[in-house]
Amino acid sequence: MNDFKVGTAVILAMPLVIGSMFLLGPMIRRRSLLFGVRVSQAWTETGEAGRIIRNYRIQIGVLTLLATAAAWLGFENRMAWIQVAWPLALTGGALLPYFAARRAALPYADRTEPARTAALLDDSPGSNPAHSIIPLLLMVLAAAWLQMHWDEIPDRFPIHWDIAGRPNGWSTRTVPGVYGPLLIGVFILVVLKLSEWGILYGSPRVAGGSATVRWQSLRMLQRMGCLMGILFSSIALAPLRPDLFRPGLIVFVILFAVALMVIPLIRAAGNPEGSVADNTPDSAWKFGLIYYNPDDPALMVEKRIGIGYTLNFAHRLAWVSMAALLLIPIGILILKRMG
Amino acid sequence: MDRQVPVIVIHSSSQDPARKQILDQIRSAIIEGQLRTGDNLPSVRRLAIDLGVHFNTVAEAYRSLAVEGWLDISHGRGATVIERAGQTAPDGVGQDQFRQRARHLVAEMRASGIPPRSIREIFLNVLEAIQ
Repeated sequence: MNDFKVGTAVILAMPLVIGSMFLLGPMIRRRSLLFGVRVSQAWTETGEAGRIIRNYRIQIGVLTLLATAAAWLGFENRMAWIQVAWPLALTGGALLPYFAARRAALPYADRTEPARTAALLDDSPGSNPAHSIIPLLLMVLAAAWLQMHWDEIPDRFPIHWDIAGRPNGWSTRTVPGVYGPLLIGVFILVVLKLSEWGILYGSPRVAGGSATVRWQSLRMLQRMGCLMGILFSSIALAPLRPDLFRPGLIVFVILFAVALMVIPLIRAAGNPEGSVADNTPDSAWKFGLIYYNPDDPALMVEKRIGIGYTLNFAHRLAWVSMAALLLIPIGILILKRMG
Repeated sequence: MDRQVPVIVIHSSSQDPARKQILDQIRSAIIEGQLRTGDNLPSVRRLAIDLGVHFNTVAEAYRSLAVEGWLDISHGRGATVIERAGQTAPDGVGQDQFRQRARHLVAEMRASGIPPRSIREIFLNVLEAIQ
């Protein structure tokens, strides 16, 4: 297969992947939630719920096909503005079917006030420090190796590749240029660790299926940290052995590993036996997506859409976390300029 | 045999404030033996996050339980269930107040449609759990 065909396949795959995420997002849920609305599990199996889900799927399917056609047209005709416009149109457009489905589900919302539970004795396992040390150690070793073989690093080496695997971004043998990937890796590790602590110490411990989801989420973050350690160490060491470095293979391995981590979480979230009702008040959820509850001291709560956790935006640390996340792209830009 | 972890449940629609719900349920768990002397309760912060209530609400409930003699909160290590010093039973007036509250509770149960036989069973079950 030549480069052009590979490029076309990737271009066509991107809207399909994004569309699939929108299609699956609201379906990956606890049994007592539908489009962010707290409903009875029995109702989710009725024809009315089925009709709402079907309509949502049809609308997202049509949007995805339109976005795929636009992406292909933009790629074929080298129209850069279309390449920028279709992801925005697909992302923004997907909100419309979501809001329509949510509006249709709202009349069937469970109006009973949720009860909150807590264990009076702590029976939850703590955090395993090995999960923090291993990825950090990998990056420290990579840094030491780079330092020891500094003279073997080429004056100019690739740091970015196009969709066909050809280098299209370069760096030079300078401290920020060589150690930049490791710095970014450490920063991402810190963000992952803070997220883990946010869940561990700042989210409610709950009983039943949600407890499983909570521990699966924590485990996923820990494994993600290890994966990031391997990834950024490999990228950092690439200038020493460019012949061994395969960006396509790395992307494939990352996607495969992420899928392996996410699947148990999706299964735990949808487990009908363990899935328990959401215990946050409906009034605190804006559009079923954003949690804002000044009366809740929790920093993080389980999402109502998809899997994982979201921030309580009434908590001041939530805004600090958002600001810290912004530092990642800013840091990358600074390193790029320096390198 | 694995020990069952006692659980506390807070209903936001309840007429009782969250502080009283926490206090009542921890006291009941101690009296019924679900919590034993030496057990460490979750920190104020931990319980407040789990229950979605303000830290002060939990802290007040812990303080009240400490004043009643059920908890030790003096060492800054959270709350520990302690052996309660022998209490003197309330005098006639004090007992009348409890009788009055029990009467109101029974009337409330009858008003909600629970038959007398079931009320009797509920009280006997509660007493059995305590003993």
